Amino acid sequence: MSSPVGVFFQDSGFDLHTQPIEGVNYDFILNDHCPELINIPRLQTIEKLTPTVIPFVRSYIHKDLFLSTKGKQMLSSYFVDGVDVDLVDRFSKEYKQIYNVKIHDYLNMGFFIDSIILEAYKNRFDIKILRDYLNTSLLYAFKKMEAIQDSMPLDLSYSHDGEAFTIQISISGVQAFNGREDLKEIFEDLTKKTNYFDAAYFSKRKKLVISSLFFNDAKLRERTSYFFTEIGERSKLQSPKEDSDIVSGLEPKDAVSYKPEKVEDFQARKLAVARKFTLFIKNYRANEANAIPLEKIEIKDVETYLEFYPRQEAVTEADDEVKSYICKLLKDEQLSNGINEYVQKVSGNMDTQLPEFQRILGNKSLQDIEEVIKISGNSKLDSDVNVVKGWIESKDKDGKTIVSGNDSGMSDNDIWEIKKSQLNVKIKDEVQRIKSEGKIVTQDDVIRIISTQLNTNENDVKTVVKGILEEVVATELVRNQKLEESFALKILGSQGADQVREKLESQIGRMKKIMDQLKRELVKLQNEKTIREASHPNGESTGVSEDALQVKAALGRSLEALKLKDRMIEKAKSDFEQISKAKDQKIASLEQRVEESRVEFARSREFANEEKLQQLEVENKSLNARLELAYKKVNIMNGNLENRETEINDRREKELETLKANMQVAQSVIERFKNDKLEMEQRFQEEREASRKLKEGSGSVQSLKTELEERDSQISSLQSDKKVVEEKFRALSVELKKVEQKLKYSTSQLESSNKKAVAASGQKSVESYIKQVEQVTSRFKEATNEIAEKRKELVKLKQENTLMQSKLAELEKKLGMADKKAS
Amino acid sequence: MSFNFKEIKNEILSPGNIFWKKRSGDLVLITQKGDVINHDLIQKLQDAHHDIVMNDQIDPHQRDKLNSIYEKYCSELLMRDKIGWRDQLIELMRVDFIVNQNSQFEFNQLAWDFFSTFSNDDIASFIKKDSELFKRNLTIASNYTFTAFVLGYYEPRFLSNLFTKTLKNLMELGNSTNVLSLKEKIEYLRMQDSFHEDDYESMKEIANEDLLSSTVLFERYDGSGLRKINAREMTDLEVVLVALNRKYGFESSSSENVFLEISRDNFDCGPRLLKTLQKLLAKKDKEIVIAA
Repeated sequence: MSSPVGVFFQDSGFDLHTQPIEGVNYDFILNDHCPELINIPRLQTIEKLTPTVIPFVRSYIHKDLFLSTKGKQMLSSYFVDGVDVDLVDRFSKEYKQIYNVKIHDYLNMGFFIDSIILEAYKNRFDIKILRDYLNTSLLYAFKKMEAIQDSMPLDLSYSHDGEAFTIQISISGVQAFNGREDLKEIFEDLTKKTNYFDAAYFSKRKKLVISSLFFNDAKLRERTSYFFTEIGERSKLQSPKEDSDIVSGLEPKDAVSYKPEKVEDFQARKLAVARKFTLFIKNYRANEANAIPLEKIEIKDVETYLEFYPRQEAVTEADDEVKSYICKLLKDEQLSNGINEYVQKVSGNMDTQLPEFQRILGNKSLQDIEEVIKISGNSKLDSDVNVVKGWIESKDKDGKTIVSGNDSGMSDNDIWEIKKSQLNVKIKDEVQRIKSEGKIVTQDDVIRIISTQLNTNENDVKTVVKGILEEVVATELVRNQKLEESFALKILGSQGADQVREKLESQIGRMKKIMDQLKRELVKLQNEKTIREASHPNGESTGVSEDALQVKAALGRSLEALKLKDRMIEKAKSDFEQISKAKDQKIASLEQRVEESRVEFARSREFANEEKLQQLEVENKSLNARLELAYKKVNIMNGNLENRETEINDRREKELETLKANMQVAQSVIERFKNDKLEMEQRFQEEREASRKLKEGSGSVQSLKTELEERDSQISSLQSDKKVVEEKFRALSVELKKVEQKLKYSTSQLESSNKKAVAASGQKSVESYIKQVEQVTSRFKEATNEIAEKRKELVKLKQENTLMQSKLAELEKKLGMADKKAS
Repeated sequence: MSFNFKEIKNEILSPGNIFWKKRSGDLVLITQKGDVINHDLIQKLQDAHHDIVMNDQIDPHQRDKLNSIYEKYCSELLMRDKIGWRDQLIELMRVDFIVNQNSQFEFNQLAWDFFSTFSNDDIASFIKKDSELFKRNLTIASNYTFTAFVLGYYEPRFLSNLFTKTLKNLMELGNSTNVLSLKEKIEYLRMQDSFHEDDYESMKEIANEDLLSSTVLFERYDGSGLRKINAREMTDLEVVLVALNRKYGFESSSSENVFLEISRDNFDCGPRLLKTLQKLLAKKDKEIVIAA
C-alpha cells in the first residue's frame, strides 16, 4: 500500500484491497496477492511470481516506472485516461505531428521503416532499438494481415513529443487474438527494450492495435512494461484530439544527414588510450635498469611494455593503430607535449568543455578511475594499496538515503554510480554559481568541487580530472580522422596554418625593427665616441672605453638575441613546413578518397543501369514472345475464317446441285405424268370408240363378256395408276417444301456469316459474299418460279385426272347399262 | 464542332453535349454532357448523313496526360519514385479540380479511366436499372477512391478493388424493390443526422444480409447506425464513405467534386481528417521533382 506502486494506484483513484471482499468486481490483481482468485487479470511489478498465478498475468510493469514522472505519466494514460485512448495521439501532445502511412505489402517495407527511422534520428532517439522493433513487429503484422482474405492495408502512425517516440500499428479484420501466445517467440524481442507495449484487440471491429512507446532517456531504457487488453467497443465520448495534426507519411520531409557518432567517440577514445599507455611506458622506463634507447623502440617493444600494464583487460583496446601511435608519442617529445600544452590552455577556461567533461565522467567506471590514478605515477605501481578507496568510502548522508539501507548488498560499483551522478549534479550547480558571479570556470574549480564532494585526496582528484580533461581534448581534436593527421593539424597548428604564417611574419617584422633600432643605436654610439675622442683627445679615454665596453656588451647581447630570434624563426619555419606537409598529406588523402568514392559511384551507377537494362531486356523478351503469340493467334484465326468460308461455299454448291437434281426429278415426273395423260387420253379414245362400236352393234354375249373382263382389268389398272400418281405427287410436294426450307435456312446462314465476316475481317470478303448471296438468291428465285409453274401443271393434271375419273365412272355406268342390256 | 462518331463509340457517358443539327440549322440536344449516350440514335442520324455536333467537351489531351502518368505510377516499383508520380498526379488534379473547378463528371470519368474493371455488359445492366442511380453511385465511388488515393492508399490493385466493390455494392442496393421507392428510401436515409430503430427497417428492405453486415453506409458518427459503429471505431476510409454517402444525392448540381468541397471546408468528415485532407491537397511549397 505504501510502496510506490500502491501510491500510484491510490493517487490514480483506484481502491486497493489486501483481502478480497465478496461481491466486488476487481479489475486486476497485483502480483501474487490472493492466489485463490483466478480468471482476473494480473498485473506484475516484481520479478518472481508464484507459478500458479502466472497464466493470468496480462501485464508487466517495471517497478521503477512508478518512480519516475515520465513513467507515471505514461502509465496514467493507460490506467486513468481509459484503455482505449490513442497512445500516439496522447504523446504527440502539444508538440509534433502525427505521421500516418498505409502499407499494402511487405515488398516496400524498408522504405517505410526508413522514413520512420529518419524522423527518430532527427530527434535523437535510439534508432537501433526502433529499427529492430519495427522489423519484428511489422513482419508479424504482415503475417497476420496476409492470412486475412481481402485484407485492408496496415495502418501505421507514429509521433513523438521529444521525450517519447510512439508507434502504432493497426490491423483490421483479425478474427481472433490470443494475447501473448499469439506472439510466441517474438514476444521477447518486442518487449525487452520497449518501455510500453500494448496489444489491444477490439473484438467488435475485429481490429488488433499494437502500440509501443520508447523513451529517449537512456536511464529509462530497461524499464519496460507490456499490456494485453481486450476491448469490446470504443467509447464515443473520447473524441480524438482535434488540435493534433495528422500528416501523411508519404509527404516529403526535411533532409537530414547522418553522422556516425559512435565512430567519433571511438577515435577520440583511441587517442586517449594511446596517451594513457604512453604515460605508463614512460613511467615504467624511468624505473627500468637497462632501457632500450628511445630511438630504437619498435611496435613489438611497445607490446612487451604493455604486458606489464596493471589492468590487462584494458590492453585489448590497443590495436595496431594505437600501438604505432604510442611508438611515435614515445619518440617525439613535441608531439606528446602538444596535448599537455593544449590541456593547460583549456584548463584555464573550461566553459565550453564542461558538458563533454561531465559526459566522460558519467561513463567512467570505478576501474577506469583506479587505472588513471595508478598509471599517473603519483603512487607506486606495485603498491597494493587501494588508492581509490576514498572515492567510495566517504559515503555521505545523501548517498545513504538513496540506497535506503540496502547498501550491504551493493557493490562498490553501484555506490560509485550513485556518487557519480551526484557529482555531476554538484558540478552543474557549482558551475552555474561560478558563472553567475561572472567568473570563468577553471580546472582548479572542478578539482575543488570534486574533492570537497568526495572528501578525498586532492592530488588524486587532480590526476583524475586531468586525465578526463585529456580525454575531453582528445574528443574535441579527433573528429573521425586518422590520429596523426588530426593531431598534426590541431595540436601543431592550433590556430591554423595562415595564422601561423602571419605570426611568423609579424615576428620577423618585429625582429627587423629591433635590429634597425640596434643599428641606429650603434651608429649613435659610434658618433658619440668620435665626438668625445675629438673633444677629449687624451683624457677620459677610460670613460670612453667604459662606454665602448658597455656598447660592446649591448652589441653582444643584441647579437645573441638576434641569433635566438633566427633560431626561433627557423623553428617556426620548420613547424610551418611540417604543418603544410600535413595539410598536403591530408588534401592528398582526401582527394584519394574523393576519387575512390567517385569510382565507386560510377560503378554503382553502371551497375544500376545494367540492372535496369537487364530488366528492360527481360521485359522486351516477354513482350516479343507475347507479340509472336498474338501473331500466331491472328494467323490461326484467319485460317479458321478462310476454312469456314470455303466450307460454307461448298455446302451452298452442294445444296444447289441437289436442288437442281430435285428439280430435274420433278420435271421428269411431270413428263411422265404428261405421258400418262396422253396414254390415258388415247385409251379414253379407244374406249369411246369401243363403246360406240358397242352401241352400233352390240355383238355376241361371248364377245361382250370378254370385252367386259377386259374393261374391268383396264379400270383396275387405271385406278392403281392413279394411286401411284397421287402418291408420287404427294412425295414431290413434300420434297419441294423441304428444299424450300433448306434454301431459306442456307440464305439466312449466309447472311449471318456475312455479318460475322464483316465484323471479323473487314470489307474485302463482304462484297464477294454479297455477290454470292445475290447469285444464290437469283437461282433460288428461278427455282421457285419453276416450282410454281410445275405446281400449276400439277393442278391441271389433277383436274384432268378428276375429269378422267368422272368419265371412267360414266363409262362404268354405261358398261353396267350395256351389261343389263346384254343380259 | 462536328465530330466523328467513332470517337465516342467506346464511351458510356457523353464527354460533352451532343446535338443533332437539323437541315434548318436548328440544334437539338440529344445527350447532355455526362449522360448516358444513346448510341443507336446517333448511329441512325449518322447513317442518314445528318450533322452531329458536340460542345463543352472534356479536354482529351489532359485526360490522356493524366492517364499516362497514372500508368507510370502503377508500373513503378520503387516507393520513392512512386511517391514522385503520386505527387505529380495530385498536383495536376489539384489544378484541374480545385483551381479550374472542373465538374464532378470529369472527376468520374477520370476515376473510370483509372480504376474501373467493369465490362460493358455490367454497365449496360447498371444503366438499364436506372441511369440516375448509376450516376449518383458512380460519383460516390469516384470521390471515395480518389480520396483514398490522397489519404495514402497507394496500391493500384487496392484502389481498383475499392472502386469496383463500392460501385457494385451501391448498385446492388434495393435489387428486390422497385427503383422509384428505392431512390426515395436512399434519399430519406441520406438526410438523417442520426438513425432510430424505425430506420433500420428501411435499411433491411433495400440491402441484403451480406451488405448489411459489412458496409458502413448505414452508420453515423454518433454510433446510431445499424451496426452501432461510432466515428472513433471507424477507419479513415469508413469515415469518408459515411461523409460521401451523406453529401451526394441524386441532384447532381447540388455538390461539386469532392476535392473542391474539401478545399472549401464543405465536407463533413470530422475536423481532424478534413484538415489532413486539406493539407494533402494544398499546393506544395517545394516544386515537385518528377521521377525519372
